[in-house]
Amino acid sequence: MNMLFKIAWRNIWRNRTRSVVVIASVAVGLFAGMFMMAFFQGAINQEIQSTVETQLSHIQFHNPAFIADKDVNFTIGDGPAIIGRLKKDAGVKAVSGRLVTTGMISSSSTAAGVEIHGVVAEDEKAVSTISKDIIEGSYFTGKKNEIVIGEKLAIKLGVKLHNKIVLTFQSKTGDLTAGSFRIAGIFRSRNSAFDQTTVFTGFDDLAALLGTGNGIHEIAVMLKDGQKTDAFDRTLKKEYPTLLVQSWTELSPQMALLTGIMDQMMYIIIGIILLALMFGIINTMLMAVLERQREFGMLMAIGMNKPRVFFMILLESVMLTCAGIPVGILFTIITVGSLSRHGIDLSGFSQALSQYGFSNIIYPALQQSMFLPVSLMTAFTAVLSAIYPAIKALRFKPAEAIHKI
Amino acid sequence: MMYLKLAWRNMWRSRRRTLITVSSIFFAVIFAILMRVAVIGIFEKLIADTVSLSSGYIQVHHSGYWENRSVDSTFEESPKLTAILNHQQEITSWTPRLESFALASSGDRTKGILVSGIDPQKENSVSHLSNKIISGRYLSNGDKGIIIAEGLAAYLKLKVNDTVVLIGQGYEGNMASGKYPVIGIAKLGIPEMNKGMAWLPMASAQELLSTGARYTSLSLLINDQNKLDDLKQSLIKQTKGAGYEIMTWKEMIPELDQLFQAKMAQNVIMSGVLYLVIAFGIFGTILMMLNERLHEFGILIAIGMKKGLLAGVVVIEMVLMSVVGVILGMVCIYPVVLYYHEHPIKLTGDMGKSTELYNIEPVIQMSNNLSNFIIQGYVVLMIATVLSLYAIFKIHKIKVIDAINS
Repeated sequence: MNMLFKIAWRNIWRNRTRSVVVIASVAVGLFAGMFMMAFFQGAINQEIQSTVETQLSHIQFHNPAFIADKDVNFTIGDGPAIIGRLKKDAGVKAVSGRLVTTGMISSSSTAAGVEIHGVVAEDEKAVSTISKDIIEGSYFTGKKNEIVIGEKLAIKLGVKLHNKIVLTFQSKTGDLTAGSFRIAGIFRSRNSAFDQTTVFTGFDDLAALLGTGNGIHEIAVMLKDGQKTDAFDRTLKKEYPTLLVQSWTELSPQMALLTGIMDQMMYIIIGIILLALMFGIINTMLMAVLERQREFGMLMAIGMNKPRVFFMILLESVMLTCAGIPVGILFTIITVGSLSRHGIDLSGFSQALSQYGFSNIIYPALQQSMFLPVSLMTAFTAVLSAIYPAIKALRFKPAEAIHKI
Repeated sequence: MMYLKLAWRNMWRSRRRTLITVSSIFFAVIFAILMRVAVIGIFEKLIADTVSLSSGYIQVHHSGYWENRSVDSTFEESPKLTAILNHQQEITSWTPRLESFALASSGDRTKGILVSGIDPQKENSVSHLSNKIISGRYLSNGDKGIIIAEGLAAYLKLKVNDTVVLIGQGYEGNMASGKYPVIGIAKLGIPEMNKGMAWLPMASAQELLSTGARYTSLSLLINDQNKLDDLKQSLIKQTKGAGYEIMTWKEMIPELDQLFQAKMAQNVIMSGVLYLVIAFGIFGTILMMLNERLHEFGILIAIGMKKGLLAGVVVIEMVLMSVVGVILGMVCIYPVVLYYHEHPIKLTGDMGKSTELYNIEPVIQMSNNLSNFIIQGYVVLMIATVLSLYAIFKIHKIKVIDAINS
């Protein structure tokens, strides 16, 4: 065994070009796998961040019965007290209590279905970025019966700033109520579907029409550190067992759908890359083994048996793989590390993206915990790829092999 | 010509070597194509599922309708327009719809929904709505009832044969209201639609909204996505002056196109990484091949072959092998892709769960669009050709004595 080690080691140094090619293939394979994961994670993070900031916030409270069908009767018991308690928490950045109902918005020309959010402007500004997306007018001026709507919806309804529109919805008693509102501001967020289906009114105005008093349907919490969402979520769930406490991961079906599609794509792509890597290494090794027919023939002729030749080839590839993996890790840390600071600008690949006002820069997020599994997978693939060429080498007949040039 | 002859003979002289090189290109093309068709396929299916129920790939409506979606901007069926649509070969099917926003209520619950008046047969040819019915039955022409989406039925607590009341705004401000028995309940893949859609037979919808024999839109399905814009232009030209507006799904559902574009831009980066891996595989093979033939090259140069000529022959060999590999790869993978286009891969376990939860069918349906094959084949061919230029460099550097002794 010791002798095999020595021979394999010397073989590696004897033909450096071949060794460098195999080492580089392994390093590139590892880099490709890690880069993919970092890139995917970066893309997901970007989408999560924009959704959390505009729509979801980190954690939301509801009455468990409310979420199923948004029946306005199901308010959160002592909502104001909970808001007071959360505002005092050191880890919480901002809290906003909202009223939420669905209804119909109509202008003189047409009508549309919308989700109406009754918000306290000061609190809401700190929780969601919609106040920064105002393109006309302002995010509430403090007058009575004001409404803030999306640009898309404004176009659809054919209304302009300061026009009046009518909201129709079901009140607490189940009757259809209507209220007339003046448009105080028009916003344009990154999500055009959200712009078309969500409107904001003052909390008190909506409460008066709904007849909910100071009841609250939804409490949205923004944390100082988004990473701590799960820990916070668990504590709050324990503290308020009668309420439905949800983190953004539980809240958004669209987000889950998107991450679901992303996951599928990631599995497919990583699988394909590993396969491509495998075939790359197999071909290189095959060429390398066949090139050495004469050498193997000679070894066998002077008495080395076939299992030993087989293990020698495998040992060589294990050694090369062991050299390739650290190289790959180092390369990944340097390149992905730098990209995660500067970001990858995708605007060159799609004109449509910037047209939509979508953010074009993705910051890959390197997951250190993935190094081990990806390294193992790459190593496994590389060693596996050496087996076929090694078996091939066993079939050589010494006498013929020696005569090959 | 002599170059070509030499290259050709060299290829046959060492069949084993040729086979390995060709196979490295062959697999590269296969992987590049597989990745492309799988990723594109996921989105083509998402788009197809969405547009067939909502806008169609292309929609014909009264000009100005899309801005406010008012039933005032409707139009009557015209034989001329029908003839134009039936004449276009790219249109696989089309259906008229009369759509309006309305409040649906039952018992003490009310919800804003989209009501769509449909021609049952034609609608089915576009959206396959009858396949989505989970209880009750699909509409037929003379029906007076309604089909509602599953999420909506759950919210309004409706079952088949229960009655739902619709209230809305009809033609020219007329009050629209009506009572309809539920004939069927349909389960839709897109959550938003599943929560807020209902379908009436065309005649009932026209009566409800007092529009007479008018439609809000004609939704078209087409057979080739690449012809989307051309077809739109052609339809605009043919219907000029008739007061129609023709829009593609990209204009009508920009958020879907936005999602698609964002993913495709990300896909450019991911394809880049795959190409990197592929290039390394091919390069490794080329490098080994050159190494193996060093002795042969040395002798050729020693007996008077010019280095330039030799390099030329080797590059031609390589390009020939690449072309063979690319074509073989494309030909071999085509039936596989077609098979998985017809029989989508069902996802199971965690992958399937997240999508199934939201009722998107957990399948990967590979795209059968031929342009994917050609583009990927071309890219791999380019990679291989550029890499084979390395041979020129390598041959140029050969020291004859060392080479012969290697």
